[in-house]
Amino acid sequence: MKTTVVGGYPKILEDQLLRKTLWEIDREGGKANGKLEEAVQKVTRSAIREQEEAGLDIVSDGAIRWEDEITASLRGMEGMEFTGLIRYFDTNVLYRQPVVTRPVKLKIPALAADYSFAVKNAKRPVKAIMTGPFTIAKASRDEYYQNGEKFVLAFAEALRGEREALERAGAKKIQINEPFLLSAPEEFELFRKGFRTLAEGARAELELFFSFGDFSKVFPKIMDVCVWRVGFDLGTARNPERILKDKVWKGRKLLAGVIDARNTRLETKEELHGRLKAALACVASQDLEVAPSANLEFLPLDRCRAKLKNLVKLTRDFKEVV
Amino acid sequence: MRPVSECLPTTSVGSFPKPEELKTARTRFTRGQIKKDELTRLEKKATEFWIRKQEELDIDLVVDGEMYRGDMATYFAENVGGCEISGLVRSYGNRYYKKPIVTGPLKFKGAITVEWFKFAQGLTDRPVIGMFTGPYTMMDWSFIEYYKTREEAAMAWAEVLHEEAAALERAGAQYIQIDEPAVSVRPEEMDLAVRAMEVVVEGLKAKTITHICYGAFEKIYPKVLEIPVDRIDLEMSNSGLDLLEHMKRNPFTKELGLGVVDVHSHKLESKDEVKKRIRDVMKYVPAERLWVDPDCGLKTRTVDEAIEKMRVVSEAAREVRKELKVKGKVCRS
Ligand SMILES: [Zn+2]
Repeated sequence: MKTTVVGGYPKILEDQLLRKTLWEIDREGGKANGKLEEAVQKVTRSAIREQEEAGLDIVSDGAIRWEDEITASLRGMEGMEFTGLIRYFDTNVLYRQPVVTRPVKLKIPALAADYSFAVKNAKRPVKAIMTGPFTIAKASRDEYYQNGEKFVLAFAEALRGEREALERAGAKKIQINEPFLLSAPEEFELFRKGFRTLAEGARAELELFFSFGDFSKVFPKIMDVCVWRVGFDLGTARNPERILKDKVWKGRKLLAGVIDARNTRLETKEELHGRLKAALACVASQDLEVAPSANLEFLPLDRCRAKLKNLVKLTRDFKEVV
Repeated sequence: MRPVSECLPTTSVGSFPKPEELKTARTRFTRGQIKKDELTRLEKKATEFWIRKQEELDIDLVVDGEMYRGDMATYFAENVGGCEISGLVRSYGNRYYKKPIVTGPLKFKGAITVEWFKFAQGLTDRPVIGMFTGPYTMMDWSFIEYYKTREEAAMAWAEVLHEEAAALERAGAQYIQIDEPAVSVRPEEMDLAVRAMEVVVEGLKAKTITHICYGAFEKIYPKVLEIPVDRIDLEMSNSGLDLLEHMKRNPFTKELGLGVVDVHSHKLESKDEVKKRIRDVMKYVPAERLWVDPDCGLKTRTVDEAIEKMRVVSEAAREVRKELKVKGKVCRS
C-alpha cells in the first residue's frame, strides 16, 4: 500500500514568494521575467520536499504552475481564448473558461518540462497529472467545432501529444482527472472515445481519477475503459463500501481518495482505517494507493501538512495492525 | 434622504478598490508597524473618498466601498463566536482569502457593520446600503467542523446574521443587501438558501437586496425568485445575457439589479454597449424595477478603472432615462 497525492499543493510556500512575485510583476505592468520562473522553481522544490518529508511514497510537482484545473493542461495548445471566470464545481475556486474559436492544436507540450524538473528535484518517484479531454471540453465553450464529439476528440488528440511528451521525458505514471464525467454520466460513450484517443499507444501507467461527485454513477463500466489504475474519492461516492466489494476489482489497481482535501477537520483513526479496510476488500495491498480526495490547494497550508502527516501515520499504523 | 431615480436608478454591488495609501497601511498594520487608529483614520478617509466619488458620478444608492474589509467571508467570521480564521486559501489567479473554520456554535457577539454604515450614511444625503454576506454563502465559504450538516451550519449563520440585519435597520438603513454569491453553485440547495434568507430578513421593513454571481443562473432560475428579498442583483455582463431567454419564459417578478460592466476586465465598456444591455433587459423587466450597476464588487480594479466603470454605468443609465422621457414616459431623475 502506498501513499500519494492526486493534485497540487498550496502555492504559498516559501513565505508567499510566488504570490509576491506575481504582485510585483503586475505592478510593473505585467512583464513576466526571470523572477517568475525562479519563484516557480523554488516553490516547486519546496512543495516536493514537503510531500517527501510528510512521508508520501509517490509525489507530484505540486502543480505550482497551474492557475486552475482546466487551463493548466491547455498551456501548450492554441485555438482558444480564456474568458469569464466560472466556478469549479461546488468549490470556492474559479477558473477562466476556455472558448475555442479555431482548431485545437498542441503547439509545444508544456507538462513534460514540469515533470522533468520535478524528477530532478525529487528523491521519491514522481507522477504526472493532467486533466482529461472530457472534463476540459465540458468546462469550455465550443464556438468552432459545433459538435460535441469533435470537440472532445480535438482536446484528446492534443492531450495525447502531452502524454507522449511526458512518456518521452520518462513518466511511468500519468494520472488523468475526469471529474466532469460524474456530472454527465449519460455522456459516457463520448468520454470513452476521448479517453481511448488520449490513451492510444500509451506506455506509461495511466490512472483515471474521479472526484467532485458520485463515482457509483460510472461504476463498474469505467473498469473496462481504463486497464491500468482507476481511482475515486471515497468521500463523495455513494456507498463506497459496496463499490469496493465488487469482484471487478480483483487483480485491479486502485487509487483511493481517503482523506477529505476540502475540509480542515482531521480524520480520526477509526475513519481512515475503516476506509483502508473497505479499499482492501477486493484490491490487493500492493495494488492500492491512498491519497487525499483532491488538490491540496483547497486547504490552508498548516492543515494540508497536518492532513498529509495524518495520512502517512495512520496508513503505517494500519499496515502494522494488519 | 435624497430619493432615488424612479426609473433605472444606479447603484453598485459593494466593494471599491482600496487606495494605495490604505493598502500600504493595511500591510503595515498586520506587521505591527502602525496603530489601529491610524488604520481606521485611513479607512475613513478612503470611505469618504468613495462616497464623494459616487455623489459626483450621481449614483442614486451608494455603498461604503468596504474599505475596512479584507474579503467577504473572513471579516464576518472574525467577528462572531464559534469561528476561527485559517491560513490563506487561493480562490483564483493570485487571489487568496483566509477561509473561516467553524469550530463551535456560532454566536452573535455584537453588530459587525453598523458603525461603518453610520459613518458612511453620516457623510451623504444619498441612501447608503447596509450590507453583509448571507448565511448560505458564509456556510459554503467556511470549513465546517462543528456542525454535522451544511443545513445546520447555514441555519446557524442565518440566526446570527438576522441580528446583524436588525441592528442595521435600527441604525437607519433603508436598504439592506445580503450577498449570496454562492447560491448559484448547488441548485439542489436553493431551498436551503431560501429558508436561511427567510430567517435573516424576518420582520425587516428595509428594502432587501441579494447579490449573486459566477453561476449557472439557468440552473437556479426561476427558483431563485423564491429568495425572500425585494431585489436580486445579478452579474449579467460577464456571463452574457443568456438569462434573458429564461426571462422570456418565466417573467422576472422582482426588482432586478442589472450588472452591466465586467469587473474582472481592465477593458472599459463603451457607453453604447452598456445602453444596449439596459435596453435589451428592459424588454423583460420594466425600467421602474431595473437597477443598473456593475457585475460585482469593483475591488479588483484600480481606483481609476473603477471610477471609469462607474461613470459608464451612470451616464448610460441617465441617457436611457432621457430616451424614456422622450417617449413620454414620466421618469424623474
Ligand atoms: Zn459578485
